Amino acid sequence: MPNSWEQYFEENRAQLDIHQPDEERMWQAIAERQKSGGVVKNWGFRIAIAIAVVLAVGVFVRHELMMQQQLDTLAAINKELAAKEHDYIMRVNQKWDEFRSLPSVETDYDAMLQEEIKILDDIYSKCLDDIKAHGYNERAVLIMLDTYEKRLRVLERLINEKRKQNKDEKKSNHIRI
Amino acid sequence: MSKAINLTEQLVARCVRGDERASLALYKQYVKAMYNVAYRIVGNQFDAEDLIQDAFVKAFDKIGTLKEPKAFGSWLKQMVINQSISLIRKQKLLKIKLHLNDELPEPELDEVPPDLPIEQVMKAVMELPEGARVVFTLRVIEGFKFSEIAQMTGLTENNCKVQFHRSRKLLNNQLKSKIYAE
Repeated sequence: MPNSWEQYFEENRAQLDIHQPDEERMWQAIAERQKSGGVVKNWGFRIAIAIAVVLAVGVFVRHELMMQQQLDTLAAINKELAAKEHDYIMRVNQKWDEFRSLPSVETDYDAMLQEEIKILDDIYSKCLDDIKAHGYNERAVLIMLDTYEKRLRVLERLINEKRKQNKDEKKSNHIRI
Repeated sequence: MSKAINLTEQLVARCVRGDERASLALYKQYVKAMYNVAYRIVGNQFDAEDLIQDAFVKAFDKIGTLKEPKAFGSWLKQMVINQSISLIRKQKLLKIKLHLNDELPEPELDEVPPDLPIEQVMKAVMELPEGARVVFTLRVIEGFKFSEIAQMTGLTENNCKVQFHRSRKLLNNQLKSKIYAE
């Protein structure tokens, strides 16, 4: 017979844990909390992660700064834009060659074209400056691509004008003869 | 025994390396005992569950700082006890300070009836007033000295002794009346 509570509990220690916890549910809560906050357990690993993050941010910032400093065409931003710009440049050059190949009595067309192209070049440069100053932005890129579309339309219009003029010229020569 | 200790040490080492299965194994090994330790102090299932979750999260987070892996169990238990006491102090449930006198009464012999079922005794312990239950649990079940209980609860050693005496008296009377009622 136990003569004290200390002795009684000592003798019944194996049966002391009478309450049964909901182990599964509690573990799920613990695992979730570990995933959200306490996953990284040892200090070495924490320091390594901190260094990796600092390095990654450093490399990213350096890359952004370098990119912004060297950015003088859309092609410097990414491969997709590089391909698009290359395609536009080829098409514009073809139109240029076509425009120049057509004989013209009217010299004003060249001046008009130069003026329009100058305006489009300015727009392109302003957008590029905006990207350099504030980083990549979709709107500026779209405007820059649009300047190529406009160049093509201007060239096509002037080529048509030249063709029309040449046709008229031929007609009037024929009538004179 | 040594096998069990080796297993705990191995699990702790794997846990330090971030092995989730080792964490689960350690949890399964200790959860029931720790839950009951917390339950006996805080006196209800909900606080005990919250405490155990907090204690395991904290333990797994700080397991790398554990100097003796084989002492994981006692380290965790101390954490559970400290958090349990901290919770009831926060909830101002630990009304241990006596309003009447703080003098130690004459020691009284326990009248522990033979073959008393543990469930009945534990139920009676849980029905003790908060302060008496906490001191009784820490002293008799967890085996702490009065000086250690005083340090953990922030009470005087004498106050703890008075509270312990009170708990024994209440427990004896409660069980006596239950036995006579049967």
